[in-house]
Amino acid sequence: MSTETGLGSVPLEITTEILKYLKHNKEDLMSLSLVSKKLHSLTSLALYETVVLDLDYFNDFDFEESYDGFRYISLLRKGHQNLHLIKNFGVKGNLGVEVKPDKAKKMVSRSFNWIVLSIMRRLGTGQLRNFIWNTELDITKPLANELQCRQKLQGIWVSNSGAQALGFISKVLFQAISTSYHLKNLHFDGINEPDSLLTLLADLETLHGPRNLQSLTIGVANSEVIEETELWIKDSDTSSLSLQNDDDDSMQAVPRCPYLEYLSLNGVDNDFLAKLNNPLKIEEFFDINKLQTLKLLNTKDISSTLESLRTLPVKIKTFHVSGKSSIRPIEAFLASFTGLKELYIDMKPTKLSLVHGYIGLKNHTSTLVRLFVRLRTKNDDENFGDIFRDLVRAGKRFPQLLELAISCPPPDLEELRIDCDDHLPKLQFLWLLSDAKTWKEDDVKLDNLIRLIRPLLRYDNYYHNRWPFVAVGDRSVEQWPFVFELCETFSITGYIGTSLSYVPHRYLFNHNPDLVLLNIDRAWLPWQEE
Amino acid sequence: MSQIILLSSDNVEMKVDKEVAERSILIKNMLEDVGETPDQAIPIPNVNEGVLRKVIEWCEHHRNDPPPPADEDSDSRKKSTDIEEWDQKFMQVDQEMLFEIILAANYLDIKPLLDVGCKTVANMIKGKSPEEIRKTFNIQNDFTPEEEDQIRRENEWAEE
Repeated sequence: MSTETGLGSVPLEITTEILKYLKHNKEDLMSLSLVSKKLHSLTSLALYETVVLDLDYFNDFDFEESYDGFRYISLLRKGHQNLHLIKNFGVKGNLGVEVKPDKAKKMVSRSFNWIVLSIMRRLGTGQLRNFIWNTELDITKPLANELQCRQKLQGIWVSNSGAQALGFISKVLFQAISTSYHLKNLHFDGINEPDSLLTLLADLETLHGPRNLQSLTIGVANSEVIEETELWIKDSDTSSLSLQNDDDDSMQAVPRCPYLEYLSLNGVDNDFLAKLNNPLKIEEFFDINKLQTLKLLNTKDISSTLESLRTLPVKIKTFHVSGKSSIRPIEAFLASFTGLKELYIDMKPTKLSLVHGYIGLKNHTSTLVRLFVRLRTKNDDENFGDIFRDLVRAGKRFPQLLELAISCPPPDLEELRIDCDDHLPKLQFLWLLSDAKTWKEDDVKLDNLIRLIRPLLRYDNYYHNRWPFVAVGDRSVEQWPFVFELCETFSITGYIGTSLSYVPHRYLFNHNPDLVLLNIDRAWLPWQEE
Repeated sequence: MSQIILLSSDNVEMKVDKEVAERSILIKNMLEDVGETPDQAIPIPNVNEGVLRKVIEWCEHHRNDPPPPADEDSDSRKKSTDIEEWDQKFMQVDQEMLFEIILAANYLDIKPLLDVGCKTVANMIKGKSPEEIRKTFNIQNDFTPEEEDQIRRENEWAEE
């Protein structure tokens, strides 16, 4: 009987299981791949599954001298053994501010396109599953043509992070994808040209592919795009843009995307869709029984959308809504069904006047796993922290709730007392959302912040460390001290969540090695790198 | 509380609460197939006494844990490698035992124990150089210097 049981000899399935926990750490995978032949072949699968080139790295590189030492060149080495393992390929990052002269910009852009194209051409035609383009750079025609040949492409994830730069999704890309029958995920965010938006909306009708579509995101970079598009529609009286089925009775019963589970509209609200020549009703677009996730972000007016949804047998599990709108239609919508697992509300209502009370949460208390509510009211005395506390005090339990994020201005921090053992037995993540802009001068002084957060830390200890963390997050520099104070507190050994995405993780870890940083970013990709 | 008897590979019998033994999906299914609590010992041919005792110790401690959610929340949180304190202490064993526990958890189909074991190993790998990993796990380097160089060059793109 073998006495040598170890990493070198355990069965494949165990090694694979171990590698799952290292999947997102390329440094560790690289080390492992150099340990032995067996580990090399196993780790290569994980290391090469997703290859996303970072444009930021191109910015730092001086191509005028030579390509020596340029690390992405390694992918183009003759006889590279592992390119056939790539399933998800793409680029991310933007041209840095330090790249100022146009000549340098062009140089970076050209080198970048050349490398991406060269790698694409080395991938087998049926190999690529997902294409990621999270950059402000335009997709060039040769690249779009390459995509067109990718017959088994399942997902396209395009976002320009709202940057206003060289351009965005070209018609070429839409032509490229319109022939793909395998597409399941289409995500276009940060569209900054009216032309792209119109092409996308029109193509949704004519595409042959989207019958199998499971998730769809349409997002615009800013409201100007919508305004310009509206003007264009007004002026052009074109009949080419129509989202309506032909008046064919046999077609009416089947929604356009019968398998759609995920729909996200960012900045494209119902108001806008109604202005199209023949607006498509939301329920003609998908099967309400299939839809699991609905996101209506940066919206101005969604009351009629929510009104029409209220009459349908909604079965969604995840609902996100953000923007400027009255809270009432949202409340009425939430009160019209049950079973929500994740709710994200980030609104700027002028007044927090509720009809049903508790924002319709009563219907979902037993199922909610994640709850994020931020309501910015004109009246400082009104906030969701109070509503939530009242709900809990009224005896409502949240037996499944794992993550709670509520707005809580600094002066109220000490006030916040929730009996978590009884009412929130599973709570692991508490976020105190706080908009630094509303803080008074004294609030942002480090001493005051620490004084305010300390009671919560002690509170945390009081419950025998049952709450692994408390976190405060918003995208403002003023709150950095908060995060650092938390990270340095050794009583916190679990997670800290922060939306301060520009704080380098490693820097945080230096303060407290036991800390696991959980960075929640809005633009989440299934394979997103840490 | 009904009890059952488990028989290790080296023929040692151990009495265990049925509820505890049923943390193992393999045993649970086996008992369900039989229908009634068996009088005879259930042989666990792949696991020796020492390892089986450790596994039972873990199952005792976690007897009241809720069942793991079925394939839910497979998001960013899942890949975290933090381990609760009791489990960390439990896993402070020599490496041979660690991998034996992992193998036993896999065989007996105790997913949460398998997860804890694999996380422990992953944590032992994190941040180490190839040579340090070889040393830690006593693995022979079977690359020629040329092969090693080739891999290093091919993987350059992933460097920070």
